[in-house]
Amino acid sequence: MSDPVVLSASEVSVSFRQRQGLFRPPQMIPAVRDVSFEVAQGEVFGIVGESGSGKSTMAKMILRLLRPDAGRLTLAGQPMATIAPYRFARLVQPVFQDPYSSLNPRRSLREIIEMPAAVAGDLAPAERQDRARELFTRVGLPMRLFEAYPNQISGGQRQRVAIARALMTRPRVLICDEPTSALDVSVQAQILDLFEELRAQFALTYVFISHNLAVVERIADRVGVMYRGQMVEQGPAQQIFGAPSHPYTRMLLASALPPQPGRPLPVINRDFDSAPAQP
Amino acid sequence: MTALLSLSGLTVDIPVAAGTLHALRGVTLDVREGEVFAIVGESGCGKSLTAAAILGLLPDSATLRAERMTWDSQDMTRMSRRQRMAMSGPQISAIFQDPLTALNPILSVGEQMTEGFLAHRLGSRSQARARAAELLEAVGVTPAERRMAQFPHELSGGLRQRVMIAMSLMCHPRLVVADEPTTALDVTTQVEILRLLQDRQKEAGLSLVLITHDLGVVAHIADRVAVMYAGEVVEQGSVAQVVGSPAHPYTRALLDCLPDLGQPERKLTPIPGVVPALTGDLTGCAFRNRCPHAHAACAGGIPWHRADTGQGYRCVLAPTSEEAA
Repeated sequence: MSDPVVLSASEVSVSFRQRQGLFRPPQMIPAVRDVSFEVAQGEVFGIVGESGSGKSTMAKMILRLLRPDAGRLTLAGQPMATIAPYRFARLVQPVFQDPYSSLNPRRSLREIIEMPAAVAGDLAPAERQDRARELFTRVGLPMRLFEAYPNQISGGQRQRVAIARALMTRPRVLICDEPTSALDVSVQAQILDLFEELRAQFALTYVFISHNLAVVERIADRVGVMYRGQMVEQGPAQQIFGAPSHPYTRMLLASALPPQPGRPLPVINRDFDSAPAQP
Repeated sequence: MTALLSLSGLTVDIPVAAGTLHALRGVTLDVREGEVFAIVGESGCGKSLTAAAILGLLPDSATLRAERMTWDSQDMTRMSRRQRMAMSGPQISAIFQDPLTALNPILSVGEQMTEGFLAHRLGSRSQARARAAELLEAVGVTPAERRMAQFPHELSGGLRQRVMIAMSLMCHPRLVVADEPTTALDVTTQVEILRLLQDRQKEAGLSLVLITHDLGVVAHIADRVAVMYAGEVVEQGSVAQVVGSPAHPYTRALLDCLPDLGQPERKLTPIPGVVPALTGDLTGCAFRNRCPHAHAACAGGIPWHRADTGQGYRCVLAPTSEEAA
């Protein structure tokens, strides 16, 4: 890997408190355990796994929406916790799954897209609007919708707004948490194309989280597989999808249903549950 | 084979602020005894509304018309509400996408499973509980006795969907309508739930109408499939025909934009544009504004081609032009 590391996680762990009842002490539920990975500049790092495996919790920690209990997260060589908010906004931006709940319904699309620039504080209001306008067109939205509200546009258009918003501060890294999972397949293909184009144009690095293996295989350079809070396997996408070594990865791959008639349902083998996880 | 459920020219109009929404526009399909019939399409194409029409769950404001809508040769459009209610359970039952909203949060699993059985007077309370326990065991919700005392919020998503499946079978239905039964589940759980549905369906010899947006699910579990677009069935036939060698440009487009595991280099072709609004006068082919083969004739009347094999599709393209395309 010749490109410099832009994001790294080293033995990151976090637990959630779960109340057991009024008088019993709360139980600590580990959500992410000792997860380590590095993402190079310009790379797409995919994270796959089932619900509850800790992939979204990992995303929250990278976005500083959640503080790890242990371990180190660094961004552009600096410990994550020490980065000032305005600088953080210029380094990392999110794209979330649900374009219905992640856009403020009471703000116009222009206001939504301009918002991160206010946090980053590096543009005069007039420049902000120019950049928002430019991004609005770049993500494929018609200018007549610039002053529209989220409830006036479709799910695919909302996700385009979320992407334009994320690009407003010219960040280096986009954290995409299931960005196409709520979309129809025809729209999903459009948004995946857009991600590819923008990556080249803006020299972006993506952390791309999805339960859809075929989508991750398509977009990711390297992939980490999460299971029960641990990253049980990571490596180049070709290796993870072509020659997976962890039995959990093999089970995940076996459960995909390709649109080819005449095949029986695959057999799901959960025997590995007792097998020790790889370091 | 005889049709258990037969729909011909099913039309549903719903009044909305902008006029009338032509939600279903002449849906024609037959569900045969003992088969898995899939209805596939994107959001807003009318597949869930077709399910609602079959289940008698259309909103009150909706107007339903049909050239034919029969259940076991009886005219469903002439049935009273009471007659439809009597069918719900012993004849037709439902499985919905989100078991957390479909299950009653304040009834225990046992109470809601036995409710319909008792309401239809199919047996005593102890017989109802015995049947519920037997079905829960069969779908892997164990130990059944303890699970029956639990409430929906105490169960995981996969377990809730298993409870829904068990509940849908309580009154020995002849047809189960499953609306996106695995969409909210993980891929691994999806496979397990589909297998369960398939096993129960085969064992009880019942018919299953499976509503889904996922052609992969269709390919693995269905016998026949109808592809819907903008309130119409645009292609219909066996799964081998429709998924294996699609004839309608929309079916082909759906397959072309689907990422397939193991083929990351294959170019995806997104479908340009959006689904048309279903208000006002609609003429010609609804897909023509997004179709790569569209030409002047597409604005006129669209014939339904039917091959000898049973595969049919609604398009001006002649069957032979498939190779040319």
